[in-house]
Amino acid sequence: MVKITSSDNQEFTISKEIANQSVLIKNMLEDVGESDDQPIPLPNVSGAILQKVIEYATMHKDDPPPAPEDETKLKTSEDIEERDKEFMQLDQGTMFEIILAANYLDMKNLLDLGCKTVANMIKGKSVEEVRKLFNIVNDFTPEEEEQIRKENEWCEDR
Amino acid sequence: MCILLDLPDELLVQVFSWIHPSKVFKFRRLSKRMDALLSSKHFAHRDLIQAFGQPGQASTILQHSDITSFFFFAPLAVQNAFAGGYGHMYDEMKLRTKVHRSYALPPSISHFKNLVRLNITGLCGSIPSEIGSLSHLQELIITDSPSLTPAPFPEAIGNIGGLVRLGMSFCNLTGPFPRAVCRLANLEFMSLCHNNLYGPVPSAIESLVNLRTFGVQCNELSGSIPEELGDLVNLKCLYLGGNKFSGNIPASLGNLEDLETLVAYDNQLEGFVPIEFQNLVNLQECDLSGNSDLSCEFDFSVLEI
Repeated sequence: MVKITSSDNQEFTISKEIANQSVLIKNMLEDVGESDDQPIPLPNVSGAILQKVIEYATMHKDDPPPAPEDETKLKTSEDIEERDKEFMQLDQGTMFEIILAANYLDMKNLLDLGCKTVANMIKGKSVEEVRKLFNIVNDFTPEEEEQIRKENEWCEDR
Repeated sequence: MCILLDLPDELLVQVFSWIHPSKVFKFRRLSKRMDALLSSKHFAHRDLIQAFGQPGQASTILQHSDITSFFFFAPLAVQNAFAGGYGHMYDEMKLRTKVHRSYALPPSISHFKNLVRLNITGLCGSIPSEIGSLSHLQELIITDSPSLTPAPFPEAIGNIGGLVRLGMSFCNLTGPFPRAVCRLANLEFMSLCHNNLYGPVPSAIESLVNLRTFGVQCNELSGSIPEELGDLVNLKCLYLGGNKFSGNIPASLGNLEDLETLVAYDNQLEGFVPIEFQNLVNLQECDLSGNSDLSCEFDFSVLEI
């Protein structure tokens, strides 16, 4: 078993196969060796988010390694397993923090899942809708914005 | 609470790279930061790889109809990345614009080195000399591009020895009749109608022995109609109307047994229609109207004068 602690000092004890899904933790474990039972500090991830990440890792602990032909196959953001879709039914704040955590912990599948989920929220929406959805402030002058709109005329209505 | 734009650039790039290149660039308008990110070379590469696979092992690729509208209008960084990575996979580019917006032909067109046919309309800017490196081209048609900067015929096109069809009508071409064209010995179709070419048609035109259509209608060409046209025995259509050609019509044109259309209206031709025209048994249209000093002394049913 492996102990990890969050930024807010919550301690979690997880199995090695779950811990190894994070390349960051896996590398740390290899560096410190088996004997050390000091908890691994993860100062960039809060306890609440770590809880979600462990939930994801537990759900995927028995996944077979990806087949080599899948590596070269083109993937789209629509390729998401049903259980992962359910997992990502979260408020935006949690979702972005999970993406940050997955990036920090080096968990490619979870990072891809997060990015795809956000991309799917953006796809098919207008610029104005996306601004509203994600609280993005339009910092262009009307002239600048018009210039880009002109350059993008070919794809504005796609 | 954490919001989308709290993500570092690299993660925003990852999010947006899941959106197809034909649809993602409108989001440049979200904010200045998104504009900079989505216009970057780094994003271009990632987005293309996500959509089409690694260059070299790309499995699916855009259909011809999509690729043209996508390629020509995408930001420069995307054009360069796409041309460099995937351009060699195409043998054809066709674009008929619905006059949404004019677009320029980027120098990176040179990466589409296996193009056999390039057929586009609505071009603006100037035609890059890199077009001359498309050595497999057999068809080069650029038409209906009045927004092109007035310029002489691109000399580099004269290097594409395999060209069979060359069409550049309404392309704002200026300068004398391009000698470079006379090097394209495989040409069967040549049209430079509706430009501002001036001066005589050089006798070097005689090297275009495979020519079936010769079109220079509506330019400012002058001098006499070159006798050598009569050596191009495969000619079926000759469009010379709306220029300033003067002098007599060369009798040699009577050699063109396959000629079906001869249009030379609104010039300054004079004298008599050569009696040799009676040999032109396949001629269906012969419009010599608007040449006030020209007359015909024999009975010639298809003639308009």
